[in-house]
Amino acid sequence: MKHLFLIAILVLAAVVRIYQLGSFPVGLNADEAALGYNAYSLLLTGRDEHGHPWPVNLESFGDFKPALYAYILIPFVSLLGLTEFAIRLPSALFGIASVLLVYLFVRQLFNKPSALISALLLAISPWHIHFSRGAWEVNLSSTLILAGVWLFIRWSRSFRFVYLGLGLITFVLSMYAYQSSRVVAPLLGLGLSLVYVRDLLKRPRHLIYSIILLSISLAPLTFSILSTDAGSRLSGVGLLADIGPVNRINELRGQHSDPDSLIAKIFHNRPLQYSLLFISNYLVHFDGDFLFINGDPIARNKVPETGLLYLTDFIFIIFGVYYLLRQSNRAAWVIFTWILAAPVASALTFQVPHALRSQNLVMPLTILTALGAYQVFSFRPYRSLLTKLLIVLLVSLYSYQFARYLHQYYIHYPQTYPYAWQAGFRDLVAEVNRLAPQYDRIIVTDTYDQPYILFLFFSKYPPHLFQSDHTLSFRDRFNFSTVRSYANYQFTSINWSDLAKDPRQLIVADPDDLPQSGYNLLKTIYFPNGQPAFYVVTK
Amino acid sequence: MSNLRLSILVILILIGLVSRVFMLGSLPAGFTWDEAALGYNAYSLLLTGKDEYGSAFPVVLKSFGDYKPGLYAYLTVPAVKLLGLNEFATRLPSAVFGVLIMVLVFLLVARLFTFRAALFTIGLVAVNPWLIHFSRGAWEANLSLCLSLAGLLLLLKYLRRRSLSAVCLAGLFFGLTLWSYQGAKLFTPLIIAVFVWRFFTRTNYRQAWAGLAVLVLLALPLLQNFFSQSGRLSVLNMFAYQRTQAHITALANQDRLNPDSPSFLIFHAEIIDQLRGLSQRALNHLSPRFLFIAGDWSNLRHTIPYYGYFHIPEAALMLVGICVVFIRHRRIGLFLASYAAVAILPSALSRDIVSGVRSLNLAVPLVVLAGIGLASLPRLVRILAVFSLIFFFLYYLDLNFVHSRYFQAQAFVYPYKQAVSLVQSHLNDYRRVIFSPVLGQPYIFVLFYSAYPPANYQGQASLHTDGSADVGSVLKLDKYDFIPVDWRTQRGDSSTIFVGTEFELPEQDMNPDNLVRLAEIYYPNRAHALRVVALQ
Repeated sequence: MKHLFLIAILVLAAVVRIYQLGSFPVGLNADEAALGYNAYSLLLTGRDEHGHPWPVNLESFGDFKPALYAYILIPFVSLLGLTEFAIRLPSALFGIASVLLVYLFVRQLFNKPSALISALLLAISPWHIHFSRGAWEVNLSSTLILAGVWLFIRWSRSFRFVYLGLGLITFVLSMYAYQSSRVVAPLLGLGLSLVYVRDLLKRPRHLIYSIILLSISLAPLTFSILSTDAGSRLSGVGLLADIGPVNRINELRGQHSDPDSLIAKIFHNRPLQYSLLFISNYLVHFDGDFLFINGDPIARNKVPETGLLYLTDFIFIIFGVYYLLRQSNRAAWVIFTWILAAPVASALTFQVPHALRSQNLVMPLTILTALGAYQVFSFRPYRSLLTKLLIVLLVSLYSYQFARYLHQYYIHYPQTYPYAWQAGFRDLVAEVNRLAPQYDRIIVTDTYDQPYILFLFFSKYPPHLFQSDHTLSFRDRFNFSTVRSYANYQFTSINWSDLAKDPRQLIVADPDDLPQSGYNLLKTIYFPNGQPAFYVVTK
Repeated sequence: MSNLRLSILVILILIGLVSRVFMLGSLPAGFTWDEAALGYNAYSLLLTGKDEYGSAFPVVLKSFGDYKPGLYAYLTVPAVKLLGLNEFATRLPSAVFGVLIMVLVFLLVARLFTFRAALFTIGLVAVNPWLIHFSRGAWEANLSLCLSLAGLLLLLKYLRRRSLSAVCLAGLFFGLTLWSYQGAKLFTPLIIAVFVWRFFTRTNYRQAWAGLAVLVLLALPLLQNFFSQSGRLSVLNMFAYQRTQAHITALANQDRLNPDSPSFLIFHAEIIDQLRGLSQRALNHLSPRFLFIAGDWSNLRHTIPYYGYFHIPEAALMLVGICVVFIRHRRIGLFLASYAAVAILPSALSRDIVSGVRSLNLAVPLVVLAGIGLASLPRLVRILAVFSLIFFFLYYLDLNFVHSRYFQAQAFVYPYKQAVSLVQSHLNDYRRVIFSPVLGQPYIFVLFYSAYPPANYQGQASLHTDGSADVGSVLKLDKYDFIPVDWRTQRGDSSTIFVGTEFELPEQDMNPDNLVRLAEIYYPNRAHALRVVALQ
């Protein structure tokens, strides 16, 4: 068995990504449900939930999700049904593919031991596992980017256009898969071309083919962005939606004795303050607290008391940087370019640092860690018993951290942030659908994000009925819309005193919405930590 | 040295000097109690040779029970003698050390690297927000930084010349860091170890023992009190802070385990949380947020708002610097990296999430990396970099000299100066002053701003400690009572001045017939600070 280690690593990667995939993370979030239901809708009708035929972007909540993941879901939904497991499985499979690809890539660029360590570290990486488990578009796009970089390196070793062409196609595909990739993939492509600029210029035909290929493959995306409202996503979550700098400008100008003086204008103006905000948003992705200690501030993107990388990775990243700098060849610059490009898209938005939008950063950082670890092992004076001891120590350290991560993920995550994955909807929808025939109208609280899509998903509501019978609301300040009603379901904020006293009206309320008494409790739905999530009541 | 280079050097030093000395007495707006304590103890030493508690020529000042290393106060004596007891005189030594730091970093880089890189580095030191901030104020850490740089330079000189005097002087300077700043007790031995590891070879130890002997000799007087004064250490020590029982119980409930059971402790033992905390604090000091965006975000005394400890373009310069040293000058690279690691340690081991003052030494290796980076850039890029640095420096000056007072005045207990001078001017008309300690340590400000004769104070000095805080307080001084105002019971008093906040002296209750309203004191941002009233 030549590839015993690699196969073992892939099996490990598969197990941690697929084991109990349908039930952990506990719940199903609105974005996952949207991808699943749109795939279901495309499968049955060839249109998305809002009736657009074969779209490039799914309008969804007005956030225009890139549609590739939904298309990939179609066969899974057709075979396995519309379930949590089915819609999460592709992301997990791409996660496993990433582990293989990182091996191939690092073997090509550096050496085989580093490649094996990279694959192993990616297989157990909290950052990578987290976004492999769940219907996230991001993991698909990161895998495609990784494949693209690998193919590009293969091209640089063989100069066969087929690799360059395939690499370009995977880069472009990643742009059809995830919003951030629309910034990161072109930047990274440009960076790689600069690193290998001499090879490219020596082959003008490859350049011309590439440009033709790019123009053709990017045309549908360009057309979609220009012809629909898809560009609006950036104005909703983009940097300019953060009004902090404007407030700061007003505050600071007011402190000048003459707020309209030249000095006040030179230092306190929008172009400068938003540029500084962008730089600061970019830089905070390299904060140690974010990478190694606590991760993303958003509960959906983090496991409690766990970093995105293992704490000990820090040491090896230092060694890795040191090693690459001592090498300072083009291979080193491929890794550095990737690290520099990865957080750019995330920095253009205002929730930073953001583990999801900058997820492709996990690849170069894991490779760096692996290179550092390999350097430690191959450090000559220690080749001996000491090296063996070191390996034992490291393996135990990483096993411990990995076990702790799994413990936090399976035991503490669902109980600490039960709302993060909108747990409870599955039971709720089953219960409401059971009761529904006896009622004229069902009113559901909108406390948790986009309840309508979860109702559609869990009740497998026929897409053709939905497409013709709903309206999207006006956009909120983050440019999100929602559906307020379909059939006899209404989704709204519950204001108890305004609700009519009608026994034919079923109400699903957040416990905080309800008064002490004066309602008829039919059913309570609980969060995984035992706290009540929903009360199903009548007034 | 060519005339051009010399004049550039002089101009850069002047820029550094002006940004450290300009408006030094009034900016940062206010005066911290530590500054007031150092100033007053210097005054006390000048007039009586004793500190405020009457101990003759102490190595350590008892002060608020925090046992400040005394060197800064001694070095402030000449300034107080010449300029009187005021903010400027108290802060001036630190500004002078700030200028010395510029020169010392210049010499260090010139020795270790090139003259050219040294010239660029001194420019970056001159305009460095971190070093400027801690040179503007009586910060013992700045003195300690200056002394340790001098020590390092002398060690380099020793290696070059094998001169016994150099190594003994190095021992002297390193020893004095222990007399100047708490954090040095950890940093100094470690930086010496780093230096020895990187630069000493087998042959050049011998005379170094003499230097070590000097150092140990200087450390001895400190050791003598080490244990009696370790209370401060236990408060600042990270291990003194543990998770609450409620937090642990909540975790254990999630695990459905007993908090003492081994299977719970595997993943949730206190030590694991402590290690996470330690790593978090260490990494915070290397985070872009700390270095380039916000500075020490946990304490407005340590930083100005909306600006980091380095100018943003320096982030790129440091990366270039790191590349240059690790590709071509490995030994210097490893020295600077270990310097940085050692500089973070005192701060990572203490309780605060991040600290700009305890990690001040970190400024040096980083600014040197940026300087080396700047010197290594291609000419055109370098010119661009210099212009962007000038722009950012001007922006920094705007934030510091125009805006910082609106944010920092609270942290620098700004209202005390006005309050004390007002009360002093009415002191003869009243029997008693009730001065609320709500802003912290008012007694030292009364001593400082009234230049209270130290000989009179030493006799009555009595620090009250109740064990709940890490420092004590003084409750009484002549007519002053430093106790919270309790207006309900005290409103019937007579011949008394009250100093308190608007919550202690509520507007609607300012109605006794014998009430005289002396003043309302506001912060620069118009927030209410203190109310001064009197009952005749």
